[in-house]
Amino acid sequence: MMDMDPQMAAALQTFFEESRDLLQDMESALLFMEEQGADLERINAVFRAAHTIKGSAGLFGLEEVVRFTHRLENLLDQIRSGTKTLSPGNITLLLSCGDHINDYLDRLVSATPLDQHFLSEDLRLLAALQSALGENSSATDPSLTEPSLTVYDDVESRTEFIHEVSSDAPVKSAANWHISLRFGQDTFRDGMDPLSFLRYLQQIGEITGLVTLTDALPALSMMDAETCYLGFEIAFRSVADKASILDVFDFVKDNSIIHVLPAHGQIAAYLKMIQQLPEGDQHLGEILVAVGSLTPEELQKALALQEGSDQTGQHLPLGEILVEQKMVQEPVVQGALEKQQQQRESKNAERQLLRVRAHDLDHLVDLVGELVIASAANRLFAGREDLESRLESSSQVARLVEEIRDGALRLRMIDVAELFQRFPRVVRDTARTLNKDIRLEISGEGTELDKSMAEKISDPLMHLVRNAMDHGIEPAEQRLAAGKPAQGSIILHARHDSGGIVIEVSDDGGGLNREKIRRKALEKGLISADQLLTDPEIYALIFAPGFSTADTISDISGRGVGMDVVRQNIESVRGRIDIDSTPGRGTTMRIHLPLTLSIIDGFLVRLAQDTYVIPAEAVEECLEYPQTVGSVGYMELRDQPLPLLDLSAVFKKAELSETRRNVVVVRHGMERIGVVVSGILGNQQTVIKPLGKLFERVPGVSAATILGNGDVAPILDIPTLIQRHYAISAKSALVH
Amino acid sequence: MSLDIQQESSSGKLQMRLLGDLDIYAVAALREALLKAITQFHEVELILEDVCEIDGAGLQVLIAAKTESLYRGSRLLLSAHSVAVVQALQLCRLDSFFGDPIVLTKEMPG
Repeated sequence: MMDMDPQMAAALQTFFEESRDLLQDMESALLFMEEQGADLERINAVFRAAHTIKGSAGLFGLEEVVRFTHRLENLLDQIRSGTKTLSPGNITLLLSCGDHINDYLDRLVSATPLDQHFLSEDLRLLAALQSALGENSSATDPSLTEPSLTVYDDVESRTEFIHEVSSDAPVKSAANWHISLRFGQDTFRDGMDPLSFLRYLQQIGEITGLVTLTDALPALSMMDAETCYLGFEIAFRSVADKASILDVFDFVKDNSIIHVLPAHGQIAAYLKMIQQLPEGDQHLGEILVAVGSLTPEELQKALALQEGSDQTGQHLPLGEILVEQKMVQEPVVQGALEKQQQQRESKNAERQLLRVRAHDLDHLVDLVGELVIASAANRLFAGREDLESRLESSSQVARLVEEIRDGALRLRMIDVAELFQRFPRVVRDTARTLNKDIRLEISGEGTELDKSMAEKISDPLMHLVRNAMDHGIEPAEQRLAAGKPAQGSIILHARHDSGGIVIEVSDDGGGLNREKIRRKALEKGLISADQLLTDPEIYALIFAPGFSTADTISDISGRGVGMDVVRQNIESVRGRIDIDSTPGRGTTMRIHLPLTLSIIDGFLVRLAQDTYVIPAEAVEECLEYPQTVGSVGYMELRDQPLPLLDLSAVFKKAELSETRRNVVVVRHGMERIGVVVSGILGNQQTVIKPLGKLFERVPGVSAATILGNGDVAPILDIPTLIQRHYAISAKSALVH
Repeated sequence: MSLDIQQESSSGKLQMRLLGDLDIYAVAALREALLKAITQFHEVELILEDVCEIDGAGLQVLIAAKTESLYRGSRLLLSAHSVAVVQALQLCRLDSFFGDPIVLTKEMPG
């Protein structure tokens, strides 16, 4: 929608990415507070996110975003200063606002015009923000009344209009803060004057109360006049946010103790500060009251308790008493502290990260793949020449290359937490739509998986979660009748499992109805009436195309498309899914995934002079080709017919002349087939190389690899081969 | 401008006139002078009308001296505050701590 030079475009791209991250942070913070109650740290995080987006959007002239986030910021500011509460209604509103900004960014990226739907949402949210702010809107703010009368034909005129409006944006309201300062001993010697910081504070707000602390000051005869012993407790009123207040003390922050807290409220935060400061608890408490940051009642409560405990002979710190007396519930304090810590840690971790373009990384991994092949060739030739020194150096190179390969592949790994992070919101919203009370538990963060795999698995996972909420978890009455808690729970869990990753979606709902699935499968002709099936086989039927057991079709799921798509998507990344279900207890969908997409365990087979690779996980067993079969296309395996597929026919080669041939039994989903080959060469780690445009439509071949001797070996596409074989046999059966 | 200290005593009472900047560069000498004055005299008056600048370090020495005199039961009076001194005392809300009458002139804030 705008012309800009490439550099600007790149910067804009970064802005989009960062904004999405920030919106995600905002969402998680809001969801956490919805669950655990509001805490200042998170409110600030949400505020910072909105503020940063606003600031960056301003740089790019995205007035729409600036105007919208400005409103958002106003509400957040009031919540932060305690004028407004973070009510459930406000949380929902803030979440919707986040979505709206996201939507706008998406539209910018894809150059989609802002349609009527977007604009009506825009107006709805602005009005909601306005009413949440409790402003008398119609008189003071034209942006609310006018847009409803104006119909925008295109983005251009709207943007212009916005431009006018945002210039007379409302003034941010001032908040009360408490600032606690203990200047470092070297402050004077470092050339700084505490008084100048106080004067600077007056520039950005009003000092409404102040006590100079002289407790640390030694007697005149003992003191070193050039050492700073000063401290201040300050009540401060300002429109500036916490970060800008802290910025005032940037020069002394390393050696001084600085606390900035919102006045009143959050006694726990004060207690924490009191405990951390050197002065006595009680003395400090009085100072806080003198300054006006705490009310006498607030202090009185705490001090009365402290006295009580003094009589019993123990002197407990103020904070401990409050916690013991349940004025501040310990888990809350503890939880808040832990969460703050975590947040800080992840912030720090973020700073140590580097943004790399996925394309560059892919290129690196490709090159490393080449290197693996080249090194294998190198070793092969060294072996032929039989020079010991060369053999030794080549194996050293090979070892290093392997390490580089592992390192490069690790770069593509992301924490499964990133994959899971969108689910809390999805579960919350879906639960509301379904009118069910459902809790989401996430575990196994720290498990890593390939980024492109995470992208491919995200949608199927979403479908499974929605499905579990819709069909798995029963309505509350039904749950209570069954003696289960009214609140259902969905568990998302990830773990490493023998060289792969397992992701589980579990619910504590009613479990799959075996009989119902069987009946439905019979109806649809998926199974025959006399077929005996094990439980897992029956459960697996729900992945058949067009299968749905839900009696009612809802918005969420139940249209019968989906579960088969889920399976296909999972199998497209060489994964598989199976189901565990106990009637009345719940269902677990277990997705097994390979660690990476670019290297597989290959099973090498020979066909005449050529080598082919079969993905090892598809291989069930290897047999000798029975001489008695001839060319019927079937053999008997443990009293079951096994269709045979002659690879030489598929790849139009002369029929195999060898008398000794092998059958490799491969399986995909529930179908198995015997692949006839000339010989079996064994397992080998195989670097997957995509086929060029020219060959990408060759049926039965999904990719290729390069062997150590330089030969190219096609990797067989087992699912396609099996499907084709079944299709051809079905056709020939019709003809005959 | 460096600090100059002029002293004049009469009948157990010492008048100290401070001239110049009461800052980090002056505090070591000032501390010595004040300590000596407070130990020797029952009443010490600090005349501050010629103090051009005062910083945190200067203020800190004054606070320590006042505390010392209170502890010893002697008197430390601050008089004829200059604008800079009044502003610093007000900024730190220390006017009542010293408890001296301050004569406000036109250019001083209320």
